[in-house]
Amino acid sequence: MLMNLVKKEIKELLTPSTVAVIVVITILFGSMGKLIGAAKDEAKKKPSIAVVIRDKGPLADRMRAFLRLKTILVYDGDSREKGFAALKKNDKGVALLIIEPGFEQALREGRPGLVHVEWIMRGAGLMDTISSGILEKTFQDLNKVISAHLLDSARAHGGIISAHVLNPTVKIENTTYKKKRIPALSPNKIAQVLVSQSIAIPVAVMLIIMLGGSMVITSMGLEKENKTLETLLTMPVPRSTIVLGKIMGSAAVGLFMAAFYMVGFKFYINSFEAGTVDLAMLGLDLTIFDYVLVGVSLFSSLLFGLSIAMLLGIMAKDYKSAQVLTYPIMGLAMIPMFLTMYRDFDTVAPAVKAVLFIIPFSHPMMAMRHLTLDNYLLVTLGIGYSLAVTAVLIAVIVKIFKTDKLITGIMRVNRRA
Amino acid sequence: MHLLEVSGLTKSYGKTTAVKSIDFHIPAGEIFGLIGPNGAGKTTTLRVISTLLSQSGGTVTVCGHRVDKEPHEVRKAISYLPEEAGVYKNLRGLEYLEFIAGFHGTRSERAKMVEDGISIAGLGDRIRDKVSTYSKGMTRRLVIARALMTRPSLAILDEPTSGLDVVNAHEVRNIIKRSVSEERAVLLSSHNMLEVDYLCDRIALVASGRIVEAGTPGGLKEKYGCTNIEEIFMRIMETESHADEPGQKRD
Ligand SMILES: Nc1ncnc2c1ncn2[C@@H]1O[C@H](COP(=O)(O)OP(=O)(O)OP(=O)(O)O)[C@@H](O)[C@H]1O
Ligand SMILES: [Mg+2]
Repeated sequence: MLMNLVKKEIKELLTPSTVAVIVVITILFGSMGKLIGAAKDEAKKKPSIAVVIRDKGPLADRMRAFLRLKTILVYDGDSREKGFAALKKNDKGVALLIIEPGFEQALREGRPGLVHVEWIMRGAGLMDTISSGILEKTFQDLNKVISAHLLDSARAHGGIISAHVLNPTVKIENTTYKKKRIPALSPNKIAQVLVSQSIAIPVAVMLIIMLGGSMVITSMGLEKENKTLETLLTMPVPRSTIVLGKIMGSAAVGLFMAAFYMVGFKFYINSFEAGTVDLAMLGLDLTIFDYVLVGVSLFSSLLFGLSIAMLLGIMAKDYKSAQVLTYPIMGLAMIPMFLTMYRDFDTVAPAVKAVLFIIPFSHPMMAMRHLTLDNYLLVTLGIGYSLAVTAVLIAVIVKIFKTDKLITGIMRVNRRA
Repeated sequence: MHLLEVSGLTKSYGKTTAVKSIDFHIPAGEIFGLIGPNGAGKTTTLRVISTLLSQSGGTVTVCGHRVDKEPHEVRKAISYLPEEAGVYKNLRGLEYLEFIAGFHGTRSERAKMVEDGISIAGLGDRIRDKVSTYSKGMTRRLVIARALMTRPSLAILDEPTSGLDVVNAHEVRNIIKRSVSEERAVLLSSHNMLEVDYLCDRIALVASGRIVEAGTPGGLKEKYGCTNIEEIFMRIMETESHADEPGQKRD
């Protein structure tokens, strides 16, 4: 008796469409790891830096030797400008380290040694700051080398050993992020400040699209299950109006839910984002116009998501099959979600860039980051692209609405073929 | 001019041909009934006329508009009641009537439509309740009201009284009968032979996708020497089952 029921359930659930969906999702997730890139390799790599060590003496030599060992020196000379240029040219370059003359002298006299660091920040994704993180660790080790040197020479020359030997240097750092120079912060600190943009926004966008998408699909499934679709289709309205009506209705509800979600998330983020750094002070804040653009970007990609949902919804036979059909949308939204969380658009390989651009969901996920850097072109291109793809999709859907497919079902035709 | 003209209508689903070259026409003022066994092709025929399915062959013209060429014009002229029509569960009965009226006519016409709808549905105060609380018969009355309140030139009703109790079915039949006027007609399908006898000016018996007999109820009774349509139906089906291919599938 039980087996009889179980068999029936499995038969109902494992339709060709369900199986197809599962296969596609598996493939999507399988390929995603590759797209994000080998994070582990990167963590093991030596950071590329430029050094300008103008101080002369045994400590300078020791520091240089240490850095040779622990980093890849793309420049080692006397010119700050040339060093920075060399660093910029190398697309892996992380920072320029400058030690002015009198460094060792100051230390000997019990004053802190000044280490100037000019960081280059290439992206605000979780993985974009891995190399600067490694370099921070290297700088800590460099401090130990300096401490050791001071202790050695103190012992040899019988000098004084003061407490500052254990923490001998003071870092003076600036970060260049795209075209902006942000004083007194390292890339890691800036990334921490931007964490809400890196994580919250992709997650929020994905949720909005999933919510909206499942609403459209469910609505189509319910139209069939409740036998309301046939009546609707005989109403004297253009098919495009029916399609747009469904999409706009869900878009409105989706955005309404999104607004609530964003408010909640803002509180959540505020609660652990250290309030010490003000984005406006860094020149990383957004204007009202920027926010409107982000909204338009979100709306255009939501429209795309809803049209895809509509296309899938045509296949839905009832409420149950509608649930399964939301998975492809989720998969499609998760790709850019993870990619943009871990990487900036600028720092990924060209192939990944193409993938990101092609999936319209990426654009609202990246919009805020682009706009903090005044990159309006990518945002507007993204909006235009999403709207264009949506228009094509809607045309296709309207075409299908004019055929028998909605009534007879798509799967039935396949089964017969 | 006939309100509906169907000639050589053929419809296949993949390999199954559900309707095989059907011809009939309905002039204004007439109620035309399709009868026939399960899977005969009645619903398929009605769906093609209602622009829901595309025909595989033949032509269908409603009020001078071909269903394949000008579906939008056809939709303005018809009102289709599907055989198991449902209603959006979260709407109230009244809201549903307003929703449907929203697709038709001008603002003042719509108000009149809804008024008519309420009286056809005859649900009393329950019209303000959610549809999900309705019984099967109440839902059926609501969708019949929805179909007739728009005063379509051609009402296409697939088994309009199925699921209704004797009293309700009787009332609905009278409503259908009254809805026909000089410029309006009704096409319906039914499994109730007394109903078609009472309601229809002409009937066609469909079997395996073909019209095997057609005429006025009186004319047919005379022709077969029977006192009711059911007897005629049985007689024809008996001869058909010897002649026709076996195994029609139900959907
Ligand atoms: N979507 C479909 N796909 C394939 N075949 C179908 C489909 N719908 C109906 N059919 C087939 O077409 C034939 C006619 O079906 P139809 O629903 O028109 O019959 P009917 O006369 O309305 O029957 P009933 O009295 O049971 O309502 C049947 O053989 C049925 O199996
Ligand atoms: Mg039928």
